[in-house]
Amino acid sequence: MDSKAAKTARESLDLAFHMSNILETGLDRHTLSVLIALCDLGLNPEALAAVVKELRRETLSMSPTVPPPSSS
Amino acid sequence: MEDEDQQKIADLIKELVLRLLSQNPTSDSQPLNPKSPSFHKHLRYALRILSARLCPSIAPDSAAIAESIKRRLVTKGKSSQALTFSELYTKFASKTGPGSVNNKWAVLHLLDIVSEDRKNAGAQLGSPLLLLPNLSLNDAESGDGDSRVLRRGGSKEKGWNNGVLVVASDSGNFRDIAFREFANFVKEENEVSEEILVREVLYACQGIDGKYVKFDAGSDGYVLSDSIKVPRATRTMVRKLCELGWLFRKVKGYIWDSMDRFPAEDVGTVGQAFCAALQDELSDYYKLLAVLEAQSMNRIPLISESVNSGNYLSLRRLSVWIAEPMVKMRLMAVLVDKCKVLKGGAMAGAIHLHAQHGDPMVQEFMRRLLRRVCSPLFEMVRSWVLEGELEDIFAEFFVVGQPVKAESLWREGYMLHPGMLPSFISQSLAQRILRTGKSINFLRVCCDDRGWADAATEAAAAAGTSTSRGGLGYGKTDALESLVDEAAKRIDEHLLDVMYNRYKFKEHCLAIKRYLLLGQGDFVQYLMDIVGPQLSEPANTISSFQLAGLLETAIRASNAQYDDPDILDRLRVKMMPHGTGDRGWDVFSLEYDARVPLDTVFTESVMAKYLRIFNFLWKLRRVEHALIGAWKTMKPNCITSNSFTKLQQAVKLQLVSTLRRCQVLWDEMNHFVTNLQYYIMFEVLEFSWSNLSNEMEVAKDLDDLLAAHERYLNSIVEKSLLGERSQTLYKSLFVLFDLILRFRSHADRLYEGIHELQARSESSLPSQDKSKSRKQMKDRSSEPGSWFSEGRKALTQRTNEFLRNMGQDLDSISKEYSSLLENFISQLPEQQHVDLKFLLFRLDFTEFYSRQHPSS
Amino acid sequence: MPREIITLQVGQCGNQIGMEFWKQLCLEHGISKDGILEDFATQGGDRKDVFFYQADDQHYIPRALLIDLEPRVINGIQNSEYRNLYNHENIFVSDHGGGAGNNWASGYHQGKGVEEDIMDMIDREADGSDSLEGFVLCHSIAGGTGSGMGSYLLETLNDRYSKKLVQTYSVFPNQMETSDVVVQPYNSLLTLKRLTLNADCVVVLDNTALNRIAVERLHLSNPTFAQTNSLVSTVMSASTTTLRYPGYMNNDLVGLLASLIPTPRCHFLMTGYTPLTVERQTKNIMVSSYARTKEASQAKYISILNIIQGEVDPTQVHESLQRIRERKLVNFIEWGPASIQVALSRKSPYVQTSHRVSGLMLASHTSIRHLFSKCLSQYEKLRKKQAFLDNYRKFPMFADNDLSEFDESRDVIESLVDEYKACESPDYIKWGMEDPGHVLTGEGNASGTVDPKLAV
Repeated sequence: MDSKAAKTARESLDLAFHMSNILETGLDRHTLSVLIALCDLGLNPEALAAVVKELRRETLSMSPTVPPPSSS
Repeated sequence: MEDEDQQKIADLIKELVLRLLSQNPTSDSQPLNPKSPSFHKHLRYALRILSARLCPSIAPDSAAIAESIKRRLVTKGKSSQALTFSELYTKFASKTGPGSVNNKWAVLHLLDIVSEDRKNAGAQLGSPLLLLPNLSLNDAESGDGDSRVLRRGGSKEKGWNNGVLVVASDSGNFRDIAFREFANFVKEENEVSEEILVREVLYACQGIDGKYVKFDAGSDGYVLSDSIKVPRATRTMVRKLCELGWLFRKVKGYIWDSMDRFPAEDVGTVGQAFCAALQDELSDYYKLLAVLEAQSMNRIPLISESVNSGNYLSLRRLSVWIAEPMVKMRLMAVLVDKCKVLKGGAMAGAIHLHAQHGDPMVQEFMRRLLRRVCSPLFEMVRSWVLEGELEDIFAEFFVVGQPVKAESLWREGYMLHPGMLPSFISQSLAQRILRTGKSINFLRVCCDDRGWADAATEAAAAAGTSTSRGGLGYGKTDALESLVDEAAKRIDEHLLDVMYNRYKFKEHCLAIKRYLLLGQGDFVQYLMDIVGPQLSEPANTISSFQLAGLLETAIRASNAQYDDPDILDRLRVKMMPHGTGDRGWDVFSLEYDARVPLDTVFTESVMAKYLRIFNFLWKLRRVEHALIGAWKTMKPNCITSNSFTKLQQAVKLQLVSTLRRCQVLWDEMNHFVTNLQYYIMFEVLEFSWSNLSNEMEVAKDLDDLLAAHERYLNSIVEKSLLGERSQTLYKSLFVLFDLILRFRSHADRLYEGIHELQARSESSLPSQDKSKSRKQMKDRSSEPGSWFSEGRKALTQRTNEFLRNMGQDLDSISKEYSSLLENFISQLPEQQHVDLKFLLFRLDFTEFYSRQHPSS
Repeated sequence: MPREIITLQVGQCGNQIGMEFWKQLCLEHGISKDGILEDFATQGGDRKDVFFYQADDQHYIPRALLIDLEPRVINGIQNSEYRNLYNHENIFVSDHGGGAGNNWASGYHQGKGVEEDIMDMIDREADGSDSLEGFVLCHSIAGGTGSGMGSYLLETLNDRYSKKLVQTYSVFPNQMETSDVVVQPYNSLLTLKRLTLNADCVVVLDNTALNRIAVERLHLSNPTFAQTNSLVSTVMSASTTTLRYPGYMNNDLVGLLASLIPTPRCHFLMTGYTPLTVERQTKNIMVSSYARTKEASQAKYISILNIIQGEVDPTQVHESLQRIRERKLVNFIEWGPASIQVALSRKSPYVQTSHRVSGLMLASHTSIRHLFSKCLSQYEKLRKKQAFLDNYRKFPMFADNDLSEFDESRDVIESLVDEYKACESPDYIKWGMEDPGHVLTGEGNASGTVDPKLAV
């Protein structure tokens, strides 16, 4: 990656982060960058959003003992 | 390459799960271990989700998504965020090439969903509902869950072509073709492109005629000229959007209009403030238009075209943008309409009527506007209640002043102008405001007082408002109330203090009661004694200078001499206009010069009432005086000591009988007059005075005081039978009075006759001292030719005749008196408006009259 | 131009009650024993000039003449702390100082002898007044000086000042006890005649009633003269209060008396004085007693005036009057309208009393005739026995055994009693006219029963 591409990438992330803030998504910069990368790798944004939501819900409501819903 | 990607994806997902879990507040103390089973569980869960949802539910049009986000922000009233977002998005979209984000739509979509989810999460928190209830991958499958999602993702890759999702690769071309056809069709139908229309509409929204969209005076609005061929839907849309232009024209027109007239008086400070506030609102509006105009320069892509070209403005988008300004503009236009002919308080009131609105946005807008609009008004209130200044060159205030004489300043100097009273100031508050400022002016002009300034400063301090502009404003009615209350309380208190202590209101009331209402008995008596002879003369021969001198004498002779010289100085003789035949009694009266500021209470009409009361009481006193005078001529040792020794028994009996009839009649008249006096004193004067005293104690302001005095005076007038409704009673009373005066002159004649008789008989019987005179008497009666022996018969005859005449006169007076009195008494119980029970009860204390006329 | 009133205190009793009266007035007006206005007496509102005049040296001097035929009481006054109050030129004590010996005739005769001296004093006082309203005579009717000389003065005043009012405060003897003055019935009768014919108003101060009040109300088992005299002075000062504290009504003596005395002959007033609350007004006690006989129930009020001093709410007065009327607590004459009059007057700010309000009642009541009847019957008893007449025959009026003055007086009192009695009937107006024969014939003789004087 050349420096120009890096600059573009940083600026893009900045802009995305701004938008993210306006929309009050609550995502931090790093998480957002991971998500953007996944999106660019072609993952379904809806699925990603679902992951964010689910895991957030987990972390919000769970105590460490609460198992994920996949328990047998 | 694919494997590389797969590996990258796997790493990134791990990283994501780790990030998300580490946000868990509870695990802070317990750093998340990427090897822990719990982490793996979550990772598996995430992978399961990712592998389950492979198809996005929307078209990958990043511009459309951005548009929808914007719209949502706008409808939530966050238009400034919408603007910012729009700008960010434009920049974001413009980043292309290496390093830029490829799947921009996906990022936006993701943010959008996360944002929405987050908003909903608040409501759903704790709800057991799972987003993915049907996802039932068992543990066995979870092992290769990773590979499945990745494989799927990989295969999907082909379906995405530079962000445009081709739903099915095999049918992709049909779609393209269809889009192109549609675009052509659209181009054919529209003579003018949408971009141009948008721009035209934006012009119209600034009140500028465009090429196609022009103001049409006929339909009173901006219209797209008929010659332009556009679909009807578009035409309607344009017309709807152009309403904003029409409204703008109106508002702007008003502002210009008002600005032009500023120097002239019919705009006023409130109008100026209104214009300024409108101007500010418009400048926000201009900002929006500028942004929109910039956007309108972007070409509108056809549906088939790449959404990446970005931030364009279609008519529909425009309608979203201007939805909010439209509401405000509409409001402003309505207000402008309402306010066209209004100014000042009336304008503020009219605007206030529109502030009651359910929409919080409108409410907020109106409040902002009103705060500006009303600020001059509140400033006026402040300077009025604290300084008594009417800084109102444009006649906008709800208090208006007019130049009047000092004595009418309180009653007529200042009025409420109901038209200028905005409805957010209640009537009672307005009255208090009016009175407070009026009090200050009254103190300043009439009382020559400076002390009110301290009271005002104190009031401002107590109300917590500095005396300068500030604390007051629209929507802060409490602050206004408290300022007015504090000011009113102190100013009124100060005013009453000045009235009571410096101008001695109570003392003057008492002085009037003493002199005009004849409370100072000794003074009245001497006055009656010395002016009486004068007043019996014809009115036109009486010198009022002489009477003034006599008044002076009466003052010096009575306890009035100890009164305050200032009070005595105000007491004058007043001769009322007289006609021919009037006697002094008919025109004589006293007046009291109240002077500023007391003449506010003792106005001309009030003094005229006092004058009527004086005339009545004076007449009553005169009648009483006459009766006492009659008693004096027939007092016990005048009659009993003279035994009229020379008279025949028959004449003597006649004499005794006539005298007794006279005495009994006198007694009856005296009973009437005395009890009427008692009634006047106890039930009328003292009773009313004690009420006035009590009311003076509790009076809070000058109005209370005026009202109390008014009640006092009216109560005296009514109870003294001087009121409108007692006229018949009053008339019969005066007939009675006149009859009593006639009786007096008859009684005088009777006693004169008797004294003459006595003198004659005494000339023959010079002394009643028998031890001394007996011998002389014997000598004289034996003298031949004495007056006595000769004139005895003549004397008897003349006496007889005289007594018979007097007796007849007395009888007729007595009869007349009885019927008049009966008539008077019978009317007493019929008086509905005034309680005369006490008078009746006194007059008929021994039931003498009810026994005489048991029927009534 | 105050309505001045000159007080003549004659004889021992007259001077004693007079002195108490002036003490009381001085207290009420804030005048010191020397006649100097006290420093605290600044409140004004009172009229001192009705009863006092101001000498050049700012002394307030009572318009009073102190007259006696024996020096004892007047010397007492002149040696008292009030000695500087009076004008010494107004004090008359007979040169020989022998008194009148409880003999009316002596007092009357001596009065005639010193007429000039006394009239000079009276004229001087009268000249010093702007508008003299009248005279007040304080005396007792039982003794010699107050009754005899007082009688003479009454006749003289009536003659010389016929337009002026003459009011007397006359102390009637205690009829419950046998008097030390055996000729008291003679003296009383002869004085009563003058009170009937020559006075405008007689305030009857009945020693019997005064004693009873002192015993029953003031709880004094053996009231002294000083105590009963102070009771009298209270009555006197209270009855003049409206003259001294001018208000809306009753500011002069003539106005006060006119309503009380509608028929000239019935000018004998009884007084009741109690420190009363308005609510207890009806329980006022009569200072002048009347026989408590069956006839008393026939007795009627001709007039009532209540003088109330102090702060009174007029509505209270109203309610009190209403109660009296509803319960018919007071009998009034039936031949004319009548009512209870109430005069409100200020109270002296310088005299502290335990009562917020005090009141005096002045009333003309027909029961007074029993007092006169008693006088008559006592006289008749004595006269029948021809007792003690020699003392009277020594004087010119009764010289040559001419006792017609006694008979004349008796007739006057009798007709007074009759008139009071007639007042109790609704037909008072026609009373005395029941001789139509005489009226018709027009030939009546000069000597009738009405006036025996013509029986020459």
